[in-house]
Amino acid sequence: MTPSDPNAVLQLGGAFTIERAAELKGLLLQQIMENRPERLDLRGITELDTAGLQLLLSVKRCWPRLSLVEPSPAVSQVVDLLRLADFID
Amino acid sequence: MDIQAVRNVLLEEARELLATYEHTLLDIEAQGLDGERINAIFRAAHTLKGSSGMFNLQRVVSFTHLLESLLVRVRSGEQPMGGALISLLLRCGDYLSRLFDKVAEGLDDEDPDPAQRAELIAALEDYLGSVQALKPLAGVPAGSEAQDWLIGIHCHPELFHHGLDPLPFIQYLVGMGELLELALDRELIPSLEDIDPETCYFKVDLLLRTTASREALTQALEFIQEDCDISLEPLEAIVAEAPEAPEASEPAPVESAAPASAPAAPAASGERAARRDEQSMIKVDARKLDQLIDAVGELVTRSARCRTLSLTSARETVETFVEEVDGFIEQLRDRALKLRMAPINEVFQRFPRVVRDVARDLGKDVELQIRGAETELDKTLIDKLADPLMHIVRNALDHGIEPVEARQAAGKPARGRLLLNAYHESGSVVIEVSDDGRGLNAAKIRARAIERGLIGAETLLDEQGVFAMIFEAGFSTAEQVTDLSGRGVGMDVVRRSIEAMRGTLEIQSTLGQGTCFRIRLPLTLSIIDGFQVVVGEAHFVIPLEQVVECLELPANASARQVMSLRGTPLSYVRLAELFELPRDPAARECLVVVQHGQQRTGIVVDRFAGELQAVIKPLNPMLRNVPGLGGSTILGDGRVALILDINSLLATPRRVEHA
Repeated sequence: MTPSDPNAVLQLGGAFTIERAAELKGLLLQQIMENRPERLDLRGITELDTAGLQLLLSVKRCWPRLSLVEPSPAVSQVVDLLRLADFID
Repeated sequence: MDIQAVRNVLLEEARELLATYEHTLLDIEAQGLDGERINAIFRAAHTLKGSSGMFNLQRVVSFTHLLESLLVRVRSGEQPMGGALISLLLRCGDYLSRLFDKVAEGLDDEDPDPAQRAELIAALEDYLGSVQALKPLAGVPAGSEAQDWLIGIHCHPELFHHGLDPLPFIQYLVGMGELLELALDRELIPSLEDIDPETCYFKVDLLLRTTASREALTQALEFIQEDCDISLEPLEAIVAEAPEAPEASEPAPVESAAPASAPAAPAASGERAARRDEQSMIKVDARKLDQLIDAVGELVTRSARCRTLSLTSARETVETFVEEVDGFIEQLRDRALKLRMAPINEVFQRFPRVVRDVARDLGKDVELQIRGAETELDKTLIDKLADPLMHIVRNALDHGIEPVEARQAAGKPARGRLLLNAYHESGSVVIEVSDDGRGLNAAKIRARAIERGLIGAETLLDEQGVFAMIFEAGFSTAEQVTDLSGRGVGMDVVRRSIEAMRGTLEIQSTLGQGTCFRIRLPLTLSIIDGFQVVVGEAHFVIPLEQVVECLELPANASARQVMSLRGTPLSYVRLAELFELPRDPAARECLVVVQHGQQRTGIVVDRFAGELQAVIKPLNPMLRNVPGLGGSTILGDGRVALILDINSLLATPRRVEHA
C-alpha cells in the first residue's frame, strides 16, 4: 500500500444526477483508486439528485475515512433535508 | 420495438400531455384552481420531463425542469395562480409543442425559437425568484388539530428509469408540516464498486407533524406511489397547543413502521384501480388496424363468393352455413371498425385555446360550449376534420359574433356564445358549429355572388342555395379585413375537404340571431353500403346513401337529357356515355336518381344488380385521375366494380353528346 498524499483532494463538480450517474461512477472509481485522495471537495457540485447522493454515500461506504468537505449549496440542501449532517466533515 | 417506434410513442404521448396541460390551464382560468387540476398540469410537465430524459432531449428536460419547479410552488400554494401566470404557462406549452415538432423531424438539438426560449426562461425564473424571496414558514397553524404521521417510502429499484426522483417529493412533504425525524437507510446503498448507478436504493422513514389530511399526504406522493412502497401511519393525535417540544419527542419508532398500516392499503389500492381505469385506453398503430380491416374486407368478399356458389349448388345446408358466416363477419367488421373510432374530443379539445386567443385578438367576449365530445368517428376523419373545423370556428368568431358594443346595441348578452356539438344520426356523424352572432344576410350574399359573377342576376336560388355561395371560391363578404380572414384558405377549401371525406355541409342562419354550420360525415371511409349497377359488361357501385330511387327510363325522354319526374324536371346522364362504354343493346334503360348536395340527378344504366356492402379499395394508379371514380371493390364473383364518386362525377363538364 502506497501511503497517500495527505494533501490529496479530489475536486468534484458539475451535476451529480441520474443522467451522468454511470459516467460518474466510473470516474470516481478510477480517480479514487489512482490518486487515493483524502478528501472529496464538493463545492463544485451544481446539482445533486438521489442518484448522485447514492454515489457519494457509496463512496463513503467503500472508503469510510475519506472525508467529504466544502458542500456546495446544492449539496447542503439535500444533506439538510435528509439529515445527513454527519456525512459531511 | 425499435428506437424510432419508441420515439413515436413518446411524441404521441407528448402531444397528448400538452393537450391536457393546455385545456386544464384553460379550465383553471375559467373555473378556478383546484387540487386535481393543478395536479394534472404538474403531472403533464413532470411526465414530459421524465420521458424526454430517457431520450436525452436536453432542451425539453431543462425547460420542463423550470416549469415543474414553478408548478410545485403553485401546487403548494406558495405561488398564487393568476391570469398573467396562466398566459405564461400557456406560452410555455406552445413553445414545448414547437420543440417536439423539431424532435419529430429528428432535429433534437435545434431550437425552434431561441429568443422565445430565453424570454420564457427569464419569465419563469422571475417567478421562481420572487417565490424564493418570500418563502412562507411551513409551521403548524396554532389551534388546529395536528397529528404525527409515520411515513415510510421505499423506492423500487427501477424508479430512476421512470424519470423520477424522490427528493422533490420529500421536500414537498416536509413543507406540509414539521419534520420531527428522518432516517435514511444507508445500509441499503452498496459500496462504490458494487453500486449500479442507475438503480434506486432509496429508503427513508419520516416522522412528520402536520395538520394535513391523509388524502393530502397521499396526494403529495401520488406521482411516485407506483414506483415505491409507501406506508402512512398516524401516531396518536396531538393538539398543536400542547407543550411544544418536538426535540424532546421520542425518536421515531421505526420498527413499528415496517408493516404497512391497514388503513393505508385500501386507499392505495383504490387509487391504483382508478389509475388502471385511466389507462384502459390503448394506442393502436393505425397501420395494424388497416391490415385488420383489409383482412375483414377479404372475408366479406369470400363470403359473397360463398353465397354465389351456394345459390348454384342449391343446397339449403350450405345456405344456412353461409348465413351464419355472414353474421359473424358482420360482427367482426363492426368490431374492427370500432377500433378505428376515436372520440371527436381529439379535435374539439384544441378549440378552447383557439377561441380564447382569437376572441382576445378580436377584442370580443366569447364563451365556448362543447357538447358530444365523446361522439366517436373514424380516426382518419378526425385528423382531416381539424382544418376545416378550425376555419369554420375562426370564421364564426371573426364574422359571426359581433363586437361587444354591437351586441349590446342589438339587445343581446355582451358575451357571445359558440357551440361545438357532435352527435350520431342514422349512420353518419353530425358536427355543428353554431354561434349566436349576426347571422348571414341572404340579400347581401346574393348581391355579392352576382357582383362576383358566381351567379346570374336572374338565377333563382332558395336560401340554402344562397348560403352555399359563401363556399364558392373567390367569395368574401367581410367588410373589414382582419388578420384572420385572408389567410389564404377560403371557405371553398372547407367545402372541398368536407366533400373529399364524402361529407356534406349545410348552413342554417337567422339574420340577427346566429348561424349554424352543420357537417355530416360518414362513420367510416373503409366500407360503404352500395347499390350495384351494370352498363354493358362493366359493374359500378353507387353509395347507397345517395340513392333516392330507381325507375325505368321512359322511352320518350332520351333526346333531351331531361325528363319529368312527377312533374319536376330531372336532368340525367348516361353512364355509358360518360365513360364511353359499349351498352348492352338488349337492355332496357334504367334510371337511378341520386342526391348530391341540394340537387338530384338521374344516372342511366343498363340494369340494377342490387345492394351490397363494398369494401373500398384504392384505384389502380392508371384510373386515379379519372374524375367520377372514388375507388374500387371486388364483387362476390371475383370481378372488380368501380365505386362512383357522385359529386365529382356530376361536377365534371359533360362530354359532348354523341349524335
